[in-house]
Amino acid sequence: MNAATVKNGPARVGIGGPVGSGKTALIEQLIPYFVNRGNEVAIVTNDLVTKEDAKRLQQSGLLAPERVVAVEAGACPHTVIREDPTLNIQAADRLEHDFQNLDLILIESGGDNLASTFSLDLVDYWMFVIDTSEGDDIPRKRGPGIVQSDLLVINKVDIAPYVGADVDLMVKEGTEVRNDKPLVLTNCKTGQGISEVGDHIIKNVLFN
Amino acid sequence: MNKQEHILALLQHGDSFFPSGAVSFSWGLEMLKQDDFVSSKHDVESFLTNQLAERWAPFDRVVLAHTFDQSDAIDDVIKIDRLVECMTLPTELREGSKRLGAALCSTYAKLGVAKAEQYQQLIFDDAALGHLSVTQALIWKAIGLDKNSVLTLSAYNFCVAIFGAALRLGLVGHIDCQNSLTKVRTLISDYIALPVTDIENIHAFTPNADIASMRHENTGTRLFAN
Repeated sequence: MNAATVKNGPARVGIGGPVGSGKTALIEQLIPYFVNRGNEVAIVTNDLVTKEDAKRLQQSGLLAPERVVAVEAGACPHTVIREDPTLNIQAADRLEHDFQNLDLILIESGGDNLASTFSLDLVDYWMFVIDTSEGDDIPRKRGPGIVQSDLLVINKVDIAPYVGADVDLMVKEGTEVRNDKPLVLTNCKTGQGISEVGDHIIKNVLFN
Repeated sequence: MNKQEHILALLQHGDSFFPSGAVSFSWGLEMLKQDDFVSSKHDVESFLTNQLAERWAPFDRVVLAHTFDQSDAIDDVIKIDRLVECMTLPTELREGSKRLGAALCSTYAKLGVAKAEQYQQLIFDDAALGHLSVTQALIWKAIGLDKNSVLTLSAYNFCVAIFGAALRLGLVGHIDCQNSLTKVRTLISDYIALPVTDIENIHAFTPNADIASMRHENTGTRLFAN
């Protein structure tokens, strides 16, 4: 979490991680979590080639479609969340202007590699989502996404036995390389671990 | 600002490191590639030189120059902005110009440029449209650049945007891009030296890019916003 957390306006939370790790599924679980506690939420997605993630969220019925905005990445997902986040900032500014009671804007990166990080001008807090099927050696590979994110989410814990992943090892090594910064185990298909992710967001950027 | 500082300012504001949002736009090139109209570095160069000749020089350059001259008369600037809207028919080119113009205002407002903040508010209030060439002239003048520098930056940024898109589309290599950027210097210099027409006479004729942009609106597979 950076110093910008104390600014006015909705909290901006980034969600990064490799392709297929479950970023959109995590958002689909987080929306009802926050809506049910009375928070106003909007989403910015950075689909790479299609608008599939944005459409999936717009058609989910979880939020009014106009609260989900897609920003094109021009081929490189990390470019628009780190090197030049201008259009994402603009999209978040626009949502903030159009929906003045917003509490939270979730900004979903396109799927990227372990070196992916968010500009501190774009987000107040960011999460990195990996999953067990990518291999249980991912945490000890120490990519900036793994090490620097405010919260590491290890998703698809339910399939770990079938892909030969040792979840306990992932937790141990993830905790070590992150110097005890938090990590959460989730199954975004069933909702396992979602309230814990939500609680971290509340504690660190919503403050209520 | 002295001459040395002016050079440094040009480097800073013309650098692709400067956060402008331009990386998400191909200005028709992505669709032209998908349709096999552009498939080599020569095609990219032809696309760019045609855009400079038929769009940037008779349209954007004139808009930039007039906005620069009238930057203190904000109502006149808004009229130029509306003219750009009326004269840019393809939706994605028109919306792309406004998205980047608004993004430019947003970035410079955060950098403390009062003119950018003022125009950003007009855009938020739907009192101004915020087309790119209009906001470039307004803001770059406000930070102390002269008119020649503003025109140069605009043309250079456009070239870099096209070559950057071409690079990521796999049409050119990075050495090709640098060679081409060197080649178009003379062309850009010649266009900048042309007399500026009345604002009512702005015109553009880029049918390939315009049609590609319109086709791009309905494509399901895309990397770029236009």
